[in-house]
Parts: sequence; structure tokens; C-alpha cells
Amino acid sequence: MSMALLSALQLCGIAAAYVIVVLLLPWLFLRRQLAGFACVPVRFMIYFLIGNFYIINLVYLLQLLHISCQVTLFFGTLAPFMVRAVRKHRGSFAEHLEKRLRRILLVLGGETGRKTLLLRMQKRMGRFFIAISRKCRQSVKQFGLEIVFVSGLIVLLVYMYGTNALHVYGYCASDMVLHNYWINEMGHNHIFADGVYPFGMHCLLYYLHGVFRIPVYVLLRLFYVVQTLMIHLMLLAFLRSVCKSKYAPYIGIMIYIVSDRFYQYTYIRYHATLPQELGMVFILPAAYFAMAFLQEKNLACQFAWGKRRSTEEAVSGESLNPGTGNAAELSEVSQVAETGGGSAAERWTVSGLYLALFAISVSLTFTVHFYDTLITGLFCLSIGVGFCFRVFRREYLKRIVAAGLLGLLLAILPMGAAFVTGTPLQASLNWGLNQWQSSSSGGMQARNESEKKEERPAVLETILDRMDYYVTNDMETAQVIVGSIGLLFVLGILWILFRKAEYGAILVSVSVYMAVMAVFQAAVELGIIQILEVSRYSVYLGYGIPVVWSLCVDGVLFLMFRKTAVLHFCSLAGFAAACVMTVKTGVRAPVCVSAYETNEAITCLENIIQENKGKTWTICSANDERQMIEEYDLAYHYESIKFLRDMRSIDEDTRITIPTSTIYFFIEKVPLLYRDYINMEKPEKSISQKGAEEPIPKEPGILPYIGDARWITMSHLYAWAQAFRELYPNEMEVYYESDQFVCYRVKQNEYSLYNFAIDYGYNGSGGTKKEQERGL
Amino acid sequence: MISRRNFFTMTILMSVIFFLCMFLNNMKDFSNDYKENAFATGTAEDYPSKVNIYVPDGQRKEQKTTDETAGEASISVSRNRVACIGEEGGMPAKVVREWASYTKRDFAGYQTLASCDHGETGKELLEMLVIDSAYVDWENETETDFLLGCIKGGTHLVFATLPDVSVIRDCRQVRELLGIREVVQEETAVSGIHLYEGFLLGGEMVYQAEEKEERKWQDMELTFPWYQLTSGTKVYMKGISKEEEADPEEDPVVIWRKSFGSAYVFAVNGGYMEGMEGLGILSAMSAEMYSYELYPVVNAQNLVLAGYPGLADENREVMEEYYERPMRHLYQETVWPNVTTALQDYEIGITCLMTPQYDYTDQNLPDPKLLSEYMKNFHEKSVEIGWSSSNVSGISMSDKLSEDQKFITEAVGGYEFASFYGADMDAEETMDALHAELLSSVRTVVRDYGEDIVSPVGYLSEHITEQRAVVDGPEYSFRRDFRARCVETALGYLNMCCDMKRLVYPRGKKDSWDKLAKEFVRNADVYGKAFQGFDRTTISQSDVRIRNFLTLDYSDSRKENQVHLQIDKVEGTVWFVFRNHGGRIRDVEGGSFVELEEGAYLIEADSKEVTILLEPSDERYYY
Repeated sequence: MSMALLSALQLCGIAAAYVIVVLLLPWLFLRRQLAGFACVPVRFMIYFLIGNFYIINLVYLLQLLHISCQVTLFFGTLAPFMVRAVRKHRGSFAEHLEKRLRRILLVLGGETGRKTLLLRMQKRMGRFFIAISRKCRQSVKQFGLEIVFVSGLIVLLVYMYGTNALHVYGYCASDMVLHNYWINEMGHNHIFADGVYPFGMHCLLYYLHGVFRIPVYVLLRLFYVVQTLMIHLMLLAFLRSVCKSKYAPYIGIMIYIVSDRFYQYTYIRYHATLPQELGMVFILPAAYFAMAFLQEKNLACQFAWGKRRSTEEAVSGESLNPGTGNAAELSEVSQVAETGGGSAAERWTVSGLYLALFAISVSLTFTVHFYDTLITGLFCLSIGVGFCFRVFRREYLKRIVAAGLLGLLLAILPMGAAFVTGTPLQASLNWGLNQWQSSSSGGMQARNESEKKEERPAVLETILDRMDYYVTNDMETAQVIVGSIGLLFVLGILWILFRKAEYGAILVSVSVYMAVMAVFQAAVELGIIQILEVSRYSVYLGYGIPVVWSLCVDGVLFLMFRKTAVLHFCSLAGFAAACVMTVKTGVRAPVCVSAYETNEAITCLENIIQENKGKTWTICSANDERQMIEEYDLAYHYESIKFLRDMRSIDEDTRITIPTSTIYFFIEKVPLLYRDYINMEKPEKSISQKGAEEPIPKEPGILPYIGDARWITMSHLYAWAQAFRELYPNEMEVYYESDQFVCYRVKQNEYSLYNFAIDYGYNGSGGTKKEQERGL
Repeated sequence: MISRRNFFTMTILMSVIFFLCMFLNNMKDFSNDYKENAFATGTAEDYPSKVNIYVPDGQRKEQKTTDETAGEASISVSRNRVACIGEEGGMPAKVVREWASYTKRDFAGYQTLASCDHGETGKELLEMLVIDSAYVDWENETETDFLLGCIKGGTHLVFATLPDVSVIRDCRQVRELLGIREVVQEETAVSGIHLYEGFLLGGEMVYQAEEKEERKWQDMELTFPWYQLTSGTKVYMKGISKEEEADPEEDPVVIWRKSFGSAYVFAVNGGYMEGMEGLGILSAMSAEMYSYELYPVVNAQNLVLAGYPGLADENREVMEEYYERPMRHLYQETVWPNVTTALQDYEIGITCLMTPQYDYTDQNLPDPKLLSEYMKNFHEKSVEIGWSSSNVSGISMSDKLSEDQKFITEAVGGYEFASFYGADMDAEETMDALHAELLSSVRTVVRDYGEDIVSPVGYLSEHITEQRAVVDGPEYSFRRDFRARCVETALGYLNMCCDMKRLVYPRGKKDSWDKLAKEFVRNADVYGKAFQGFDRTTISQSDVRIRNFLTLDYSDSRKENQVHLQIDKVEGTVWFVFRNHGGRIRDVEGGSFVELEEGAYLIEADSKEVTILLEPSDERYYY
């Protein structure tokens, strides 16, 4: 089986598992309660948020109680369903259970015949499929072309980002090994192994590993495709929720995905499973639910749980066009609630629901990555500017601030619990805080210095310049982006003047947020406080651009055409025009980034895991495989540099033994370029005798695997392998070989281990026989 | 009341059942052609004889090439000349000569290294030099330089015996040559011996008595010098320290090799190379030297019940004392069911080399009807019947055989025996016995194991082959087990010979079948499980295979994943063992294959050109 096919199958498995957990299960649980609430994109956001929130906090709880395992995770997942079942059948639960068991006994006892049973099952299946097909027909009738567009978008995303997964098998970011280690430790109920850190992503991946038995390294290798898909679908859901026209959202997203006008900084990090990128998926829901709350004119308006029919009526015709006013729709729903009644426990106000979802979103951003919370905070402040006419009202302000703080508190709680019980902060948090402090002071200093200078470029020029450097490939696109942010602001003001205050406020909020982001992108040059590492802004800026463009088109079209059908048609035409324009201006090919492990190493690893039994093998390689195999608890790892250093000064008593029956040596013939950042550079320098003649790197940590040191390390290891193979030609075989990589396998008797310490001619002490022969 | 119709149906059914039971049994008896020996398929002259035996005709032209993977230069390695340094006629020399003959190699024997140096000048490089250390002057640097020169040249060295401990301790050059880091103790006693997997066929074996009753099995050499090895060595057999908590890594070594890149130096710490065991050890070492090894084997697994059955009612008093039943009942009701049950799951063929009676001086005569019963039973179960020289009455062999002739004529008329048990008779006596009319059709002779015997199979005379017992008696012991593994490795041959006479004329309680049966079952279990890939044969069948084995010549070559085998000088099927260090065979053209164990295959060559297709070693499931 080819690795590409294996990766594709693994990717399908991961996607299915994630969708089941964060979408299907919440849908099953809440579908009756949320039936007809708002529009489909909003419900998508709700299910997604609740699914993620529940799973992450379930894992946190079980981990902190040290009882996390497959069984507890499984039952923890089903707990809400079980609680509901118990509540539903309260008082008659035993009776209900007895009734079910009696039916089973009838079948087992033969009283219910096989044919009757089959007929019954057939009827049920028939009814189920009829219901499904009816639902499908309804959906096709209701959503029509959009289903095609969404499917096309998914295919396009899988092509653009999945291509990398099928061609590059290694980790695509340098810090993924660390995340791998942290998740492995969670397998031993040891959360925050390296200190307190936002573990949202780790909880999710650990959950998928724990319940579905997907290996952690496979998740880390491939989850980014699912993550990126969700980021874009969330972008679509957000735009569909705020835009007036149906197809305007696709314009921005399509350009964002395929246009070659964006610099790689805006999308390259999507090629790795990283917390910051996963956290991005919760920014727009937070913004949406904050805006939805601020659009509520009647805060006491109640939401009727599960009144599908009425709600459908309420949103009929415009069900996917919430821009017509969610408040209007939901006021109708509230009327239903008032007339239809319902238990007190089931009565929520619509605004309360929005606030809860806002709190959950904020909590999730903080749980996954602090940077996302900072961006969410900026967006929320921008929303405050956009909705300034309402946000300063006491009843709004106190609630939204409280919800935000509650969200933060929810996220901090597990981390705080760990911190209070003695777990220190993870080093990168301290580092981040220091960076922030230094950048703040540095920013102020830079500002003072720049003020002193007589000639300094205009702010706009600086912003454009930085935009050109970090976000786009050319100045024209940067100008278009800045221009469109300005246009969006103007459109927002116009719509406020045209008494469509909520819609206008949304446009203003987005434009202010993007303007602030653009300013922060140039923070260093402008001498203002730098809250993030500058290169990180470009990802968020890039993610905001489709929002700006789609809203610009939407705002303009809505100005011109007020009739819904015409508006939709024009947005479709606009989408077609945008597609043509994008193709004409240039389409980017899918990117394949440089991995931090060769494809061959991962291929070997898959084969080795498949071929060997537990605890019988060792891999001697650079450090990455160490965490990949540790999760299994069935293999050992020996670091190449330690291996070489152990035989550096060799004599008769030097012994290196590895106590497993099989040992694999991973050697890169063309050593990787181990950069600190995600890149697309390809290595070219081959190992050589010259490399082996260099002294073995003495630097600690990962340094012997970076740059020339890696080349020297691999050259030494290859020289050793050749010498050892000369001594053990039948015992050391080539397990896998390509032009870039070779894996040797040594099989040995565990009762009589080979001494791997040999004089290979370049040991380094200068005292070995071979070195003396070579005149060293 | 039964209706007529039902009555008729029942009658018909009962008739059919009665007919089937009676008729089938009668038919079976009728078709049992037991009076003709199915294994006597011709006289000895009809088969290849000693004149056809393979004689090395100097350096063969074919050369073996190592694995020629793409881009690698092919390295030619001569594997055809073996020399031995040691006393001519000494045990190591005899073993090496015999092994060279079995594996179709040239052999040269020298008394000293100097004579070897002189004798080999101008000749092709030796493939292997087997050294009896007693014949090397270790103080003479020229001799050690010569050995180092051999290694550099690519000749593998095998130290059949090691130099004295003091020599090893004092001479650094010798230690380096043997891969010894230090002498830990001049002599150490171990509790057992650990034979590692992958060296001899049959897998890993621990020769250590775990329980009290197993102590009697321990007959391995347990006292020898204790050496620690350097890097570049590989151990095949180790002693097991008496201290339970001792690190196995530190245990004293018995058989190992030191790699010099260009060649290996093998060392045997003890007397394991003396006797049949040396054949297997040399074959195993040879397999270690190359990327693959292909060598001919007999492929025959035999159990010989010598002196079984006896047909007279002898030694009644002793029999009553030991077994509470007469000999006839012991044989029929106890021994035979035990033997067949023990072997039913294993590929070991049975040959019964019978004698009508053991004591020709008593009045108890053999029962001809009993013979017929046995013969019918044996014929059904494909058990070969041969004749045995067993006799406790002290009459001459010619008298015994003439008595037996009379009996057999009376019992079954003429019957041709193809095999004969010569016990401990020497070659001359055996040949004399074979002149008797009764044994005129014999073409192979089974003889007892002897410690000075190095060839399990060979020719006794021009046309008669001899097959030596590899495992003597039903008793199990570690040394016997080790010997069996060695001979299986070298020849794919097992001859477990049990002299059943001792059951009737026991020398003590230890000879009673009640005790021996347990040992016999263990033997059957151990060898049956360890060598399942080899064929079950009777002695006559293995005779044919031995003749072909001794006659054949072959050459082989490898190109990438194909090994070509060319067989010469023999007609019919022959067998080879193919060892490939864990590699797997995909297919065999011109024959078939059976996996014996990981990296070891039995190749059945049905034609003269055989191609073995190997699975690429670097082919992986995920690619």
C-alpha cells in the first residue's frame, strides 16, 4: 500500500472521528432543542462550539482526576445522553428497561420469530431511509446551489491543503515534537507534563487517540487538514450569517484559498497541526455571538426549545438569510414560547444563549492558544466601536463583559487548578510574557526614537509597506486590501445612516478590527505596542481579508438591490466574476512544505510498527521518532548524537549495547534543513567523508541536528554504519533505501548483544587505530 | 406390529451394514500384499554405488558471487577449498574431510601452518582453514602473521580447538585474532549451555536441567575457560552461569566469531568439533560466512526399532517381574501403541529391524502367525521390515541367520529384506553376515553410534550403504540432542536407533519400557517438532536418498533476487538446504520448497536446473 493511500485513509478516519465528536453528537443531543433556531450556519457554529467545549473540558476533568482512559472517555462522551435518558424516564426507568429487555428475551426465546424480527427491522430501516431521503430532498430544494458550492469548497480545500498531506509525511513544524510529547504524557494521565499551557488542542487530539485509537503521531501529521477545513468552513458560516446576499461569502473565501496574491505567511502555518491555527476557528464564532447579542433589542426575549415548526415559519423564505434580522425571527419564536409554555429549566432568553455561546467561544480561544484570545479581544473591542450606540448601555455592557470574563475563567480554571497544585508555568509562557514586556517597552522606545527623527514615512505608507511584506506578494494587492478596509468602514457608516444600524455596525466592526490589525502588523515601524510576534499577524490578517471583501461586495450589492432574488442573483454573478478574475490574476498551486522528517523515515516507521511486536525494537535516529514511538510504549529510541558521542573515545572497554532484538538506524543521506520556522526550502547537501572528518557536534539539545551540525552528525552515522556493516554484513541489512535516506536493520540475540561501539575511523578522539592509519 | 414394508427395510439395512463390516475387512486383508517388501525396490546394484560418489576434481570453475544488488560491485568468493591444520587422521581432520566431501568441496590436510603455507603457494585462495590449535606454534610470530595474512586475503579461520589459556592470556595477537578482550577465569563451571537461534537448524535450545529428574540429561561440557569478547564479535553458544542473577551478557562463551571485515575467525571453546557434531557446526559456520548458503542434504527422518518385534515368548520370569506380561503382549499392547502414538504428529518414518528370537538356545520358538500379523499391520502403516543381528545366546551370526532363514521360509515363504541392523559389528563382520541367503537383497546397513565415528552416512562396501545411529537408544540427553541438531544441520538426516532387545533382557530397572517410554516420547517430541520440514522415510528410502546425495555435484550463483542451482551427476530428486539470514523465498522453479525455520528452507530439486526466486529484502508493505 502506498503511503499516499495510507495517509488518505488515515485522514478520512481522523475527519470522520472529529466530525462525529464535534458535530454529529452535539447535533444528536441538541437537534430537537435547536430545531429551527437561527439559520444553518449559526447552528453549525453552535454544534461545533459545544462539541469542542464539551470534549476539551471532559478531557481536562478526567486528566485532573487521573482517571482518563478509553472507558472513561467513552462514557464521559455519552454521559449527557445517559443523563437525558434517566431524566426522561424518571420514575419509569426500570419499567422502561424491563420492557426493552423483555423484547430481547422474546427474540432470544424464539417467541418473536426470525421473520417477524427481520420484517420489523426492515420496516424500521425503510422508515429511516424514507425520512433521510425526504430530508435530503428538502435540503436540496431549500439550499440548492449552495450544497454544490459548499461541496466544491471542501474539495478545493482538501486539494489545496491535503496535497501536502499526501506528499509530505513528516511533521511540518519544529515544535510538533513537543506537542507530541505532551499528548503522550496525557496517556499516562500526566497533563501539563512540561508546565501549565493551554492544552485545548492536546485535549482534542488526546481524545481522538484515546477513544478511536488513532496514533498520536498520525493525528499530528494529518489533523491540520481537518483543522484547516474547519477554519474555512467557520469563515463561511460566519459570512453566511452576517451577509445579506447568499453568494457574496464565497467570493472572499475562494479568492483567499486559491489566489497567488497572498504571501505564504498568510497560509503556510495551515500546513501543520498547531494550537494557534486550531484556536483561530473559534475567533469568528466569538465575534458573531457578541454581535448577535448586541443586535438583540429585547434582552428578555425567550427562546422556545424545540419549536421547530414555528421557528421554521419564523425564518421561512429567509432562513439562510439572517441578515433580515435575527431579533425579528426570534421574537416570533419567543411568542411561541410564551404561548407554548415549557418548563422553567428549558426557558432561556435568546440573548442569554448568545452570551453563553460567546463565553464558550472566548473560553475555547483561551484554552487552545493565548494569541487567539488576544485577537478575539481585539475583535471584541472593534465590535464595541461598531456597536457603540448600544454597547455602552448598562444592561448590555455588564452582561457582555461578564460573559467574556466567565469564558476566560472557564478556560483558566483547569490551568489554574494545576498551577495552584504546584505545576509551574510552561517555559514558553514565561518566554511569551517576557517577549511581550520587552516588545512593549521596545515599542515605546522605538516610538520615541522615531518621533525624534525628522523625516518619517506616513502611517499609511508604513502599513502598506508591511502589508506588502507580510501579507501580500505585491503592493497593488496591499493597496486593494487597505482600500477595501476603508471602503467597508464607509459602507458601514452609510448603512448606519440608512437606518440599518445593526448591519452597518457589523461592517464598521470588521473594518475597525482589520484596520487595527493592519496597524499592529506595522507595530515595530510605527513604534506602538507589539502584542504578538509580527509574523503571526499575517495569518490573522489573511483570515480577515475574505471577510472584508465579502462584506464589501455584500454591502455594495445590498445598496443597489433590495429585492432578495435580485440580490442573490447579483451575488452569484459577482462570485462568477471573482472566479474569473482570480484565475486571470493568478492561481497558486498547492504548497508542499519542508518537513522535519523525511518521507522515508515515516514510511519506515509505519512499516516497523506494523512488522514488530511490542518492546522488541529500537530506533536510533535524530530526535523526532522518539516521541512518535513513545506513545506505543512498545519501542525504544536511541538518539544518533548520543550514540556517536558514546563511542567518541573508544577503547577495548567501550561498550554500546541496545537490549532489543531489532535495531533500526535512520540515516539521512541528504540531511534535512531543520529550520525554526515552517518553510519550503529543499535540502541539497549530501553526507560525505568530509562531513565525517569534522568533529562530532558538541552542542546540547537539538543543535546537533540543525544546519551543518546535522550534516556532520549524519555523515558520522553513515560512516559508522558502513564500518559496522563490514563487520556484520549478514546481520545488518538495508531495510529501506532511497537517494535521500537509508534505514538499516540489525537483528541480534537478546542474550548476546552486539557491541555497537567500533572504530569506524572517524570516532573523534584521534587515538583509534583507523584514525592513526589515516594519519590523524 | 411391524409392517412388512418396515420389516423389509430393516432387514435390508442390517444386511448392508453386515456386508460392509465383514466385506471391507476381508477385502483389506485380501489386498494386503504384506508378503512382498514394498521397500525392496531393487538390488543394491541397481542404485548408484561407491564408484559414482562425488570426488572433488580440483578447484571448480564456478564461483559464488555475493549479493549483487544494483550498483554494488560483485565480489567473487571461492568456497571450494578447505584445509585443515592438525594431525592427519586426527578427529578435526576427519571431520573436515567428511564435511568437505558432503558439501562437495576440495580438501587439503596439513600438519603445520608452515606446510600449509608451502603447500598452498600458487594455488587458489583457501575458502576455509580449520585449525587444531595444538599444531600451531603460537610463540612463532610467523605463524600468527600467516594467519593474519589469511584473514586479510579473505580466508575464514575456524579454530576447532583453542590455544591454551596461558597462550591466550599472554599473547595479545592471539587475543585479537580470536576477538578475546580478556581471560576472566582459566576454568569456570557453568550450569548449562545456551545454543542461540539461527546457528544450527532446530532453533534455540537451553541445555540446562531445570528440575531434579532432568539432571540425568546433562552430559554437555560444563567446564571450560571463561573469556570476554571484544566488539565485532557474534556469539552462537554460551555457558549459563550458575549464579541466577548473573548478567547473561557476561556468561562464558562457547562458540563465537570475530569479524575482520575481509573474513571471519570462528572459535570453538571445547570439544564440540570432535565427532558428528563438527559437521553441523561447520555447515552452520559456512552459512554465516555468506549472504546465502545452499548445500545438499539427505532429507530423511528415521526411527529404527532394532530387534523389534521378537516373536518368541522369551525370558518369561523377568518379563513377569518387570511387566507382568509376556514379551509378546508387551510388544503388541504396550510398545507399539506407545511408539505410534508418540510419532503420529511428526514426520519420522519407522523401520522395524526384526529378529524372530533373541535366545536361540531355549525351547521357546518364534510364532509364524505372529509374524504374519505384524507384517500385515506394518504394511498397512508403511513401516519397513528389515532384519536384525540381535542375539543373546552367543551362537555365531551365520547359525543365527540360517535359523532365521528357516523360520522366515516357513512363515511367509520368500521375503526380501532391504535393510539390516549390524549393531556394533565391525565392517568385516557385517559384510560376512550380508553373504547369508536371507540378507542377499540387503542394500543398506544400520550400525550403532560410535564416538569416533564422524560420518553418519556413507558406503560400507561398493554397493552397500551404511547409516549410523545419530541418536542411540530411546534415552534423551543434551549431548544427543546437540548431536542430532548438528547432523540435521549438515545433512538433514536423523537416525534414532533403539535396540529393543534390552526391554526383554534388561540390565536393570532403567531398561524397563515404563521408564524408557517417557524418554522415547521426549525424543520424538523434541526432534519431531524441531525438524518438521524434513521428510519421514524408512531406512531403505533414506538409502536411495543417501546414494543420490553422495553422488551429486552442484554449482550455484546468485544474481539480484534469483539463485540459480545447477545439479549434475545424479538423476531424480535431490534436496538442498538454503539459508538466507532471514530472507524469504517467493518461488522455486524446477522444484519446490518448505520453510524449515526463519531464513532456512528445504529445497526439493526435481530438475537439474533450479531457480530460487527470493523476495526483495527491502520490499516493504508501505512504500
